[in-house]
Amino acid sequence: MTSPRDESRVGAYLRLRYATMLSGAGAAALAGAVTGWAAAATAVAPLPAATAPAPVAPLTPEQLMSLEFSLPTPPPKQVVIVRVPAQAGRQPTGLAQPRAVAARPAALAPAAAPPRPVAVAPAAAAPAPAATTGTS
Amino acid sequence: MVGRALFAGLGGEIVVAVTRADALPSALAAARAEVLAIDAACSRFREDSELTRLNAAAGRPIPASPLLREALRVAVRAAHVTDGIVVPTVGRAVVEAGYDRDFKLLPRHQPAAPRRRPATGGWEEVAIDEVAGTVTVPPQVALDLGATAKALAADRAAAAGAERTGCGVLVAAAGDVATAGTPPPDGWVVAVAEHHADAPLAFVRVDSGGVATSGTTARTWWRGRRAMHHLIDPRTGRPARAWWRTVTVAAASCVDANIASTAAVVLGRRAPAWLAERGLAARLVDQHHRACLVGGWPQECAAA
Repeated sequence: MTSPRDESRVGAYLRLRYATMLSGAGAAALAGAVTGWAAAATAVAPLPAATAPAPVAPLTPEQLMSLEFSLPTPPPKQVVIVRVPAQAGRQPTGLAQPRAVAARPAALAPAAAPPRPVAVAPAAAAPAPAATTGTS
Repeated sequence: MVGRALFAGLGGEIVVAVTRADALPSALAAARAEVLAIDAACSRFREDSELTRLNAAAGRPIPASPLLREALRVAVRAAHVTDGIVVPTVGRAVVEAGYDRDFKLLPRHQPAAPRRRPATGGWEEVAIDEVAGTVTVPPQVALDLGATAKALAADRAAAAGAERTGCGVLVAAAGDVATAGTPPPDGWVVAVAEHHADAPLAFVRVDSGGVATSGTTARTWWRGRRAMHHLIDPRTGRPARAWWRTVTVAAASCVDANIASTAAVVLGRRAPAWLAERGLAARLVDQHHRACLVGGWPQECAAA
């Protein structure tokens, strides 16, 4: 609901806009008509038609802050754990990646030193091995 | 090596060797605990294993122990580093090949295999949720951790034994050898054989890491008129072409050695170059029993 005081301000605003947008006699006549209509509608003394618009001061950081904090608080976002399938070269996404393996798993690692030969003297007994490798 | 003991586990024989005799009981107990834990988590043949529950979950996430999650991470890493040559998603293919129970109970002559190509894909979609402690396998996919779980058991058992005793420990899980701690002064002597229970063909010394052998001559059976073995080529869904009888690899861990040896069997004639590119020392034996040595594997002294 708007009050008579609000309506008077609306009339003043419209008059001001038209006065600044139009020029010449037509503009003056139109401004006068608008002024007459606004005066009749609000029964409030109109403001001078030639009033220049006041420059709008930019909002200060404090005002911006207060504007921001006056906004309603958005609902909290649901935290989704993204389970990324293990895939070569795929980049991790999301908040957490409980993946099967890292995107670039460690390559097969050679032994620190290759196996060494076992010196067996001719006719000597074979060495006692700790274990035997073979298929199972 | 001054102490050595054996026990049964993972469908074979587990060897524990130590550099200090009084450490053997502790190292043995530590190793046995690790082996039993891997068996309970990763066995494809136990109805009460975590892996069996996971394979029956039909795409639903199920709680998984830290050990199973580690085993799955290792298996998926194997798929990554071999560009899909060694994958854990061959469970259905190996069953369709006829290997559907403990090998000791497997009929050696079976009817011909179905003609359809078994599915082996989906390893990229295995989800391991470390936050929730769950794992999810795509529907219609079954896992088989045979290419990595036994080697992981050997690595973990050797590490646990060395940590508990403070001495050098070697664990061999049915032919997959892992070492930890300070080795003997001359290194660990490891015999190389076609089957780990066979007479040695050669010997090498290693100071650290692991040694593993994969092959096409063990765990074999017939499906109709076709000879089958347990190493599945994911590209065909069927046992890999038997280009090599055995491939033995030394690497920084038993897991890496076993990933590489399995990949080499599947890759066939491309294997020597693939291994050499990765700086892996290996010994490959073809169907004519000729050995191909790559990556610094020593010219060996054959066993007497």
